[in-house]
Amino acid sequence: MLILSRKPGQSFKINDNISITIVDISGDKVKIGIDAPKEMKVLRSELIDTMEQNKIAAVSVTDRQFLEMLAKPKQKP
Amino acid sequence: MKIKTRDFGEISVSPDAIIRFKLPIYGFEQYTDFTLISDPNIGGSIVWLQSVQDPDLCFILVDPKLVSEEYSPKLSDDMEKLLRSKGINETEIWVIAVIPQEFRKSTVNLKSPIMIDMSSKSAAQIILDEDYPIRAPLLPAGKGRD
Repeated sequence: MLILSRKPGQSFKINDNISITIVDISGDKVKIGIDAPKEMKVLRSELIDTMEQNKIAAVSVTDRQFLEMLAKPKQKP
Repeated sequence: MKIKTRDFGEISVSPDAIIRFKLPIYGFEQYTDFTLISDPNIGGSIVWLQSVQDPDLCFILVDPKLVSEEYSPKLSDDMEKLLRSKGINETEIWVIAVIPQEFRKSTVNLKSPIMIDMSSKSAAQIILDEDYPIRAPLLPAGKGRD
C-alpha cells in the first residue's frame, strides 16, 4: 500500500480527475475532502460491509429451534 | 390490510403497525414499508422485520442485549429529528442477524443498528460512528458449540 504523509490543507491526486484534500485533523478524526466526477461512487467501507451483511441476512435461514434457544438462554436449571 | 409473509403465511396488519424507513436498509433502498412480527413461542427479544411490499423479503432482528449488555449506541441529533415526531423517547434498537445454515456461525451487525421510533413509526438503519463490530458473533464463545 502506498502511504503518503499530508498536513491539513494539503492534497493529492488520483488519475487526472480525483483530488483528495486533508481538510482537518482533530483528535482521532481526519476530515477528508474528495473532488471527483459525479458518476464516481464514494462509499465508506463500513457502508459496503453493512450492505453485504444485509444481503446475506435477507436470505438467512429461519431455524425456530435455534431462535428459541437463543431467546431463552438460561432458563433450564 | 392483509399481507403475505415469508415465515407466517398471510397475516392481517393494521395501518398503524406499518413502519416506514426514512433512511433505507442499505442495499434495499426500494423497500420502505415493513412491519414487525413476533412469535409467542420465541418471545420479545427476536422479531421479524417483514416487508409489506415483498412477501419474500424479511429480516430477523435481535435485541442487542442478547449479545452485549453494555451496548447503548447514541442517536445523533440529526437522527433524533429524523425519527421522532413528538420528541417522545420511544426508540427501539434492534440489530440484524445473519444466520447461515451452520447457525453457530451466526452474527449480528452492531455497527449498523435498526432504530425504530414507535410513536412516529419511523425507522432507519444507522451506521454508528462508535467502534462496534459489523460481524459480532451471536452466540457467546462455547455456547451451542462443540
